[in-house]
Amino acid sequence: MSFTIQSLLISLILLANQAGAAPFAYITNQGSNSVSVIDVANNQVISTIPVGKAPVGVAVASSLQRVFISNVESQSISVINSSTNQVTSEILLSGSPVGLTLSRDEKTLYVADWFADQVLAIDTASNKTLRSLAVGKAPAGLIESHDGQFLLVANRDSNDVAVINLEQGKVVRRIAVGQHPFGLTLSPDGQVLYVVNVYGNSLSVIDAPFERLSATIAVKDHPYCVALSGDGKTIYVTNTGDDSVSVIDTINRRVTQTIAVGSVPEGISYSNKQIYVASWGDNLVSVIDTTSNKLVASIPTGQQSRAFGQFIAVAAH
Amino acid sequence: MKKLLAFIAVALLPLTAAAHGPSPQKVEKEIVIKADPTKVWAMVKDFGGIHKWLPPVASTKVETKGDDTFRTLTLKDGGTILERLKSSDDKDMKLKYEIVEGVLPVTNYNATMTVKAGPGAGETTVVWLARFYRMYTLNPPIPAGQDDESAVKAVTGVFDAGLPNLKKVLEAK
Repeated sequence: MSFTIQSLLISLILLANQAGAAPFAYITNQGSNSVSVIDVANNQVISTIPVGKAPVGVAVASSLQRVFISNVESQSISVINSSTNQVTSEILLSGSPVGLTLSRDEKTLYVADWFADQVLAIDTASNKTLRSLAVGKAPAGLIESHDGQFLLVANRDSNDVAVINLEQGKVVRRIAVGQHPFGLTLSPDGQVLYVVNVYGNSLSVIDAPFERLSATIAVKDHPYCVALSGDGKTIYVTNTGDDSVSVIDTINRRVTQTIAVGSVPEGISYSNKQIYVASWGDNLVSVIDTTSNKLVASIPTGQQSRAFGQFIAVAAH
Repeated sequence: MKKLLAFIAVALLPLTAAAHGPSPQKVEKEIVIKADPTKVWAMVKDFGGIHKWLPPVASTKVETKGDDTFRTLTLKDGGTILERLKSSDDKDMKLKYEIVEGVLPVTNYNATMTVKAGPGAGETTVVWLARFYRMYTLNPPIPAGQDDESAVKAVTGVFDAGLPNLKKVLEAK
């Protein structure tokens, strides 16, 4: 009996440690063909991992202790073991992988295949492609709804978001958004989808159950990606053409300020009251403190940092 | 003017309709000039005066349409490049423009020229950064001359011709 309690206690302590451990940011460097691993506890690069050619997308499977990287020019996915920071396998594909995301249970990796206008579902246990599904033209960002019912895909060259019903395995509707939707994310509660329109210079807002466009918010030149603060109150959008991040209040859906960051900011993710922004132009990651909304650090990474997707593990949910 | 507008209208069509490859290309060059930053910035921001320091350009013609400012560069070999001014920031000394249409083998070309004081006293650094995609926007195989390498080579050629001459012109003043 006491042994069982002891085991339980140890398990609980281990769980607590896992949940409380500061995560890492995985930054793809297109020009260096590498991934910089940043410890968000001290904002230091702790490892640089060689991957395939022109890496862009990132998906972090924290339970599996794996990180998936899309190498668009070598038409492959690098699989990193996040406890050793080494590539353990490379999944070869016939298409051009860009956006990546994981199912909530981490059993399936979804891949946006840019030129083939389809989404691939890869089994993370076997690294085999289970199925493919035609979506719109040039699929880019994608994310699974929190209830696991839908996969939401930004079709850059169709100017819409495809809503895939995962159980039925088909696109159930396509929601018109702005011109050239690219990055997207869900609010922390999963109730609101935000999609960035590169040519539209705007952010489209689609409320659950993801049936129609709810609002459009103007941002700056050639916006790319979006992230939210942990409390869901603030939206941050990278503006590649303006070298800045737009800060938006989710209640009023209005831009409250614009923060200058490293040039050509692309990928953006939130962790522990900080926003991390990959600067393609300056080869670094800009860090914004979400309590002050000020730039607090610049971390040198590799050439042409992109970090497309959720590149830091989401806190325990 | 009417002709230019028609040209712009036609040129904008492929820009909005065409896809491009997934990997943007980058050329970044910088040069240190022995001149005052304000003097350097005055020459860099002169949108209609790029022929004064960029050797391949024979003449520049500036036209406006609504809030937009365009320039047509006529090259010495007869080719033209139409560009749109995106912003000119006197505080940060930063000029941004894009190519609408032209003879360079690129698509979705955006460039920034930044002027900064230093590194030494009486010196100014000019950074020229371009982000663009190759000309061929579909799936491989890519036709010769329309790949990433050709695009990077063409832009590098322009920058390498321009910056040393910008230095020469400003230091001669």
